[in-house]
Amino acid sequence: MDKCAGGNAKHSKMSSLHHWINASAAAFVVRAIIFSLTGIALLVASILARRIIRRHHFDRLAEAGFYVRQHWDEIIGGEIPRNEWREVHADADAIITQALDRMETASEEKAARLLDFLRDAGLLDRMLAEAREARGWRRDAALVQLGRTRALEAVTSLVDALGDRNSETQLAAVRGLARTGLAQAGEAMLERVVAGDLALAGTSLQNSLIACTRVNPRILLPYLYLAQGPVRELLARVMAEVASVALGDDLLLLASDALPEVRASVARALAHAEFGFAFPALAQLATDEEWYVRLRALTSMGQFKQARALPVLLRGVCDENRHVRQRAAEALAHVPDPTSVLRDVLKMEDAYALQAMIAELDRTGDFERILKTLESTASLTGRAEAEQLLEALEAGAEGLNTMMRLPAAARKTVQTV
Amino acid sequence: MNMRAVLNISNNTFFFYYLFSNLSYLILLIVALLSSRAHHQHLASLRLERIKISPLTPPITLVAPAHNEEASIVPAVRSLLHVDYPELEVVVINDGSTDRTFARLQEEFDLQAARLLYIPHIATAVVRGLYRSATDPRLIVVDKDAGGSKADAVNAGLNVASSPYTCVVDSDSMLESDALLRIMVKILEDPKHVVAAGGIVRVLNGCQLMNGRIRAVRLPRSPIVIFQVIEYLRAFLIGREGWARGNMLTIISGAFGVFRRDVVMSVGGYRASAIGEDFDLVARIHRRMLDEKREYRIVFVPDPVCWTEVPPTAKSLGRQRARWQKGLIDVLWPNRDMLFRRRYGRIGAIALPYLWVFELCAPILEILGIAAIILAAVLGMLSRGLFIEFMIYGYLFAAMISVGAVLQEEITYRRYNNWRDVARLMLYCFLEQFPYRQMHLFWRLQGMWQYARGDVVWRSMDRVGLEATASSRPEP
Repeated sequence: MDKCAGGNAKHSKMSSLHHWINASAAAFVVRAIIFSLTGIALLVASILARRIIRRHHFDRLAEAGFYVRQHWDEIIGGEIPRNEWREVHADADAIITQALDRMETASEEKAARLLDFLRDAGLLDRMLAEAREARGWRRDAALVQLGRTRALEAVTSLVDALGDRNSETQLAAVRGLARTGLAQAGEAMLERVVAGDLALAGTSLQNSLIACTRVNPRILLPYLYLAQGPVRELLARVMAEVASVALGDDLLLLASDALPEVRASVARALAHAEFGFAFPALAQLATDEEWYVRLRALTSMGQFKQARALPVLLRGVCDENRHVRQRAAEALAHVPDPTSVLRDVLKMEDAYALQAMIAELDRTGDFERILKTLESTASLTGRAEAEQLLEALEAGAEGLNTMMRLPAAARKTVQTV
Repeated sequence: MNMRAVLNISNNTFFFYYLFSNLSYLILLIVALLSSRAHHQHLASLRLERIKISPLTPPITLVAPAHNEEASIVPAVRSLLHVDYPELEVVVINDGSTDRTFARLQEEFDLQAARLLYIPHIATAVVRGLYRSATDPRLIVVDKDAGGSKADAVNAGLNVASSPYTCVVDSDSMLESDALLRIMVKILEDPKHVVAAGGIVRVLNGCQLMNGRIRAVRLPRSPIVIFQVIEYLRAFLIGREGWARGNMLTIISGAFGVFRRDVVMSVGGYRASAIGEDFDLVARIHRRMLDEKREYRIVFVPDPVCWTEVPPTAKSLGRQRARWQKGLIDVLWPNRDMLFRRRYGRIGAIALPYLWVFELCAPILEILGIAAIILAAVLGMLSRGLFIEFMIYGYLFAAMISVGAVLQEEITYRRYNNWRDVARLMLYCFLEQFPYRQMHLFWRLQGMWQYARGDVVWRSMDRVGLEATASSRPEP
């Protein structure tokens, strides 16, 4: 009886729950239908409105762009009074865009004239105001546009924006400063980076520092000596791109720096120095503990195309790292007599070195030619040596193919570096 | 408990399931709209040419596996070589094709045997030879025995690749010329943490091609292809964009994705036996990174575009969708230990459970729900009014999400310039619910059934070739 009563109560509870859900569901579904219908109407309206507005906007821009292009000389020369176009937003925008586009491909003298025009016409002031006062993405775009003018007065506004709380704006300011390519912009960024006030992930900051310090890499040096940890690594990577012989004796000092990035940058820069000056440092860097320092050193060494560099390059082609071996082989493949280099490589009895040479000579298209030359060697004294080399080269080439033809199970035992 | 009680519970469960599913779509749509807007505003201060001239831009190897692709291989490779990127290497893998795929490559690109050092870091089927194009030395072709899967071919390509980043592209797909520059924007902003990036894949059928490039983007005529256009827009512009926002992207399309090579190598490359190798790779990357407690990001970039040929017939589409469903089971089941474990963070707590409930089990739950509703109607338990209202709601809500995807397309690319194309696209958003949705349901169930029976054989898609696909559409 009790059980039956309990069962009835349970059933009644279930039933009332079901009714409640049904009633709530019915009300909800009606609201959801209205919501969906409104959503569809709004979305369709957004699509249509967007299309119409964009069409109108781009028609107006195209019209303004066409007018400006047709009357460019009159606009620049002042024959068309500035009041006629300065207050018309689309026209002024089109003039700024075209002036900046032309500045990028113009000679220095012409670019300076265009900048003067922007100053005189008040357009530079307008850009400066926009870079300071606009908000959100409009400010970001204005900052980059301002940088494109390469005007010295732009640097202050751009540097101010580096202190913005929004990282997007900081990024835009960094990009703008990169576009100026001015050493002052570089120094302003370096100060903030070293003080820890500017830290952006990614390559934008590095690119910007490269662009602004390329003209005078010496401005990097005091900050590089001052910086610590990751900031120093970042500056070292910048140095690797911009370092030149202008750094003079500092290069030799930095060649024994504790940070491998710095040593790599020195190795790269030494490629542009006198061979006599660079050789001892490069020979030392070619034995560095870090593979990419050795790689950079061997690449630079190869660029000199000097006989004295050959022993260093030959050591490099036997390196434990395959990228280093390949880079050394690249340099060795370009010496005037690659056959004699091949003989030297053969003497080293290093299969990987020989493979690197064969792969490189094949890439340059010289391998078949060398084989043919060796096959046709007629002199009795050279014949035996030629045959020995030929045999080794063919075996080396076959060795390259063997590894990829090995069945999957056997490959696991192959030692690869 | 009697039949009525069971049906009541079942109907209520189905109602709430459907409600939650729709709510999650709505959230994804809103997140995706906001995310796309932010991305486009971000691009306002960026010029892609700066990436091109930067000495810090890393090289990329494009890896394109090809198995019996003679119809599309030449325009596809030509389009890869046209990609605008400073340091590019293109590795095409001829995976034991039995047609003229390799011969077409040889004829068109003057392939010469190359003596390259091939180190098989990842085991693959036997590689017969390596070739380099005499006309464009950036092109390397790996000729290998068929490994029975796309994954095996891609692994051979990864062994040959010499760049720190690799981009796997299907050989029946075409990259837009600026696709790599665009996808690298997000990677270069945080190269330390971003380990993979996916771009958007769009439907090539109907477009006009010329010399391996898209001349005009048009909507195809075939309804089954238009439904796929909407599906792709919805999946990429709403789904991936929304999930990526919360760093919960679980799939990067096999047709177009950039990966850090060292990360892919560290997880052992693609799993050769995987049915959905792209999904499987991303799942393993998540697992590895979370196991090692490493900070990482897998991102989606909404503007780099890869165009792909989609199945033009219901039969081949059915095969593809069944395979996708099998791929889903094949990844979710072995990774079930990631569910709700603290170590796997939001992937284990949100992304994977969502896939289990709303993707993997969806076909079964939908069938059960429909059966319960019909039974309830037969037994007179269902209010006819509520039933009809519920159906209208389901129909309108799904249409709204699809129209939302079209709006996203308008905001991000606006590739369909023709008003008629946009109007047709919107019209098809309303036609998709019947019978396409039911066919789709059937194919997915078929996939589950095949998987349960152990049928995991690759069934190839009928291809007509990129140029034929693109030019097959008569101009209106």
